[in-house]
Amino acid sequence: MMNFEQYLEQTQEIGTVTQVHNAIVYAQGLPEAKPHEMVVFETGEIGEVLSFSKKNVEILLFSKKDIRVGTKVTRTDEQLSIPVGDAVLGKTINPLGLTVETDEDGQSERRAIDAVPLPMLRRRNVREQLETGVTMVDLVIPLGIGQRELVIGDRKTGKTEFVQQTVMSQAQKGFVCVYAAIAKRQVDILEMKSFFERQGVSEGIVTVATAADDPSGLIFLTPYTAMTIAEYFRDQGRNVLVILDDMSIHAKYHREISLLAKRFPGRSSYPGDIFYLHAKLMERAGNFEKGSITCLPIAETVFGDLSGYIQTNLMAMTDGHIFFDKDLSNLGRRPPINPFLSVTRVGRQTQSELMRDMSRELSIFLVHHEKMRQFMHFGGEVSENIKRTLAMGDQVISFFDQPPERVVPMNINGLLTAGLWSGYWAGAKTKQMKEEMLILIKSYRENEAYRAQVDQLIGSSQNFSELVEQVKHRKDEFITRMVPVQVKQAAQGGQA
Amino acid sequence: MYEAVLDQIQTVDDLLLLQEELDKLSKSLYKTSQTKFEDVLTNEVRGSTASAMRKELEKFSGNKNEYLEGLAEEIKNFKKIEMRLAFEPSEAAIRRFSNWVKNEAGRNSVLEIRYDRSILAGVILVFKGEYRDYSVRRKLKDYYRI
Repeated sequence: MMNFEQYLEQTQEIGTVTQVHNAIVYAQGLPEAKPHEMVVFETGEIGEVLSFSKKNVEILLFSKKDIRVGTKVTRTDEQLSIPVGDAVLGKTINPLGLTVETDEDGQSERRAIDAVPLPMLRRRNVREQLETGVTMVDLVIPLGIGQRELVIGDRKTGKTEFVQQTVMSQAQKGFVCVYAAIAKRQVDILEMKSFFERQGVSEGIVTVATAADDPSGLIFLTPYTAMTIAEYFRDQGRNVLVILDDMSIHAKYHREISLLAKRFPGRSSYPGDIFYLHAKLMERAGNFEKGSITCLPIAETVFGDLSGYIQTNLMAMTDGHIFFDKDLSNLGRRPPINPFLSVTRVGRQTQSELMRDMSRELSIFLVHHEKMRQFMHFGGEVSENIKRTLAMGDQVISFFDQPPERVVPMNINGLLTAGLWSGYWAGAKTKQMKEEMLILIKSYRENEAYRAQVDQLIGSSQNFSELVEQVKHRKDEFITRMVPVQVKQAAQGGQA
Repeated sequence: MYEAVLDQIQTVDDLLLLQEELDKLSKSLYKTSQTKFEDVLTNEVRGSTASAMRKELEKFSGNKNEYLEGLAEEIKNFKKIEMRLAFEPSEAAIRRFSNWVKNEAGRNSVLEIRYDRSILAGVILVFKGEYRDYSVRRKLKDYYRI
């Protein structure tokens, strides 16, 4: 990027700042300013033309430094663009594409932040499943590669932990992951970064970060920069996962900027174009003829209210939502995903016959279990059947419980579900069941022969009943022999 | 109508001074003393401006308030041309520049002269957001770039 004098020489147009309202600056002059054109101030700051009238040009500022009235500004004759390239992988950058550490870009290509989404002819159906590594989601609320799925819930319900697991899982598979931290605390951004470094996946992750004390204009750009970087990698034929954390904060900053720019307020004082602003971002994701962009925007609710303005907007423009329930979180469930209030519109078509069958069985069972639990509130005697259902339900819920640093491959999840359904762990204590499951997951990861065996079993089963039968008859081969004797003895000792 | 007064405006300082004088004259119209306007015109307005105003007021058909309001509106339409020079120009030089500017850009143009030694010589002009650098500094930069 050139400096003020160079742009002045090039465009031969100058303006003078006449008013400053926080992030919005009004300048007189710049007769040929265009909307969304980048402008440079004589002090080195950058802004973007928002709109103009006969007398003034309205500029959105991207800098923390105060601009004084009387400061000169010039046009650049360029749309706001960021440098992109493979060198951003593993780095933390700001929305202008500069690395936080060095303040340099060093990239060869520049791309406009505001891009038109690809047309329908360049898109393909969502066909492959996206493995998040979270058992509940992979089995009950499946996602597809190229899907846009909203992650929604109250604060401190584990949404960020869920996306971290997804990023970890996908980064291990070679996806490029772009994480947009929108107005987050510095300490949270650093924690996220160190989490990925500990897991050894930071090389494939780009973090576009803005802190809460950054200028509103810069915070506003964050998700657009993330999507632009994702498009660069998509055009190279790669699969990209984009996390936008979180869009409700982004909407608040857009509201702030619009009110400062004296735009007429709409519902809840949000500007009238808030839906358009988010929708054009979401439409840039999808499955394409070359590469894909899977987008997981995050939205925060207040007391579980899914009917909020921004929340419903985002639900309308995505292909489903995963709801993190505060009540389930208070009960200690991790992740506290409510499968009854979560939706996946294009995830099921990506599943194999077996997985779809398994997913259906699990969903039906969960509904049945929930009804039984509510029936229990009336008190009274319960039949053996109901007791079995309740016990099984507790085991299934325990099976879904997963700490944030663990990702579980789908095939082993399939085997464990089949094991549960076959009654292998019937009557067993939850702790023992969890320990044995963990051992099987570990064996799947570390033992190549076992992994091949499990993959072959899952691949060859046509439906869930067949898989359950296979596991029932071959439990020694798939489960018993992998569980160490000590664990079994400890379990038996505990039971005695 | 107001040419005699407006032609005297050469620089932005002249414009600001005239605005102040008009403001004082407008306020004096609402003072109780009948001769207040004349007193202000004699004592607080520049001589050349005051005599030009008297001549125009004799020919003006409306009242003094309308005259002053009309003149204030005309002043609002003045276009500013910024001229950055490497020297502080004399009165004669300013008059010459102003005449040239009024011929080229219209009678309702006014000069804003800034002093900037770093341009070495020549001039930098800014008008309606258009920026033109005709300074020696620019020529030297171009020369050494080649």
